[in-house]
Amino acid sequence: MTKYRVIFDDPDRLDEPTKVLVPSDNWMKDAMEGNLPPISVYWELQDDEQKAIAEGRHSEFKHDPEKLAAQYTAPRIGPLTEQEALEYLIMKDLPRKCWAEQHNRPMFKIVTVDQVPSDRTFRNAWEMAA
Amino acid sequence: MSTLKVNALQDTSGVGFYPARVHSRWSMVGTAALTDSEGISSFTDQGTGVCRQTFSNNFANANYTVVGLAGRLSDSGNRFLGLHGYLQNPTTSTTDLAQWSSSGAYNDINYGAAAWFGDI
Repeated sequence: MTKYRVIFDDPDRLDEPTKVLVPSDNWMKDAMEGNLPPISVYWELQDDEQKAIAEGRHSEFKHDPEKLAAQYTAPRIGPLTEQEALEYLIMKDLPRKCWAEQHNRPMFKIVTVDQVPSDRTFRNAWEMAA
Repeated sequence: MSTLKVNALQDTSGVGFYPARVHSRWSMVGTAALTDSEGISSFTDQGTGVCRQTFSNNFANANYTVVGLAGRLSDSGNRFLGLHGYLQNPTTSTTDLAQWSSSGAYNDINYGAAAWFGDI
């Protein structure tokens, strides 16, 4: 079980509380055993879907079968370390603006689970510390 | 352990079975945790009563079905689980879910569970 979490802010929604991403143990195991396709497989799918959303045709949108199948058939990239798996997950599951664009402060941090507060009384006021 | 790889499942009369493609069990009391899952790459605590489930692999389209259950173990009162489409509709890779108490306020639960059925 990974002890890491990723805290992040969505640059498009800075008025929202800081979010906490919890990696799936099964997915981390797959990543560390080398069962993932190149990250570009997921980016292509994300790009196609975002284009459909922007053009107002998401309700009829269907992924290209070849690109979809690549999730399972593309050559695997080999075993990753825990840190590499987290970096891959950030590039797959966080909004791309978080990590692909420069901001005047970090938009995400990898932290250990004990650095995340367990008292949720003021959960919607959480902000990432500088 | 053996692994069966098939494209479709049917009974002997040809009626199809449609197994869940993804399932998730989570808690948002204390430090948010993904208790158990298959087909989920990450679970995101987005604030009180709101979470995002991100799939390991994309569905073919976003017209999948989700069934879920929400509650507070060892606690009183009803809790509800629903789609949080306020900021983002379901996509082929994520579903945002919200949890409410019976008063209608967003509420953190310690028993959240959902399964997804659709085209992979």
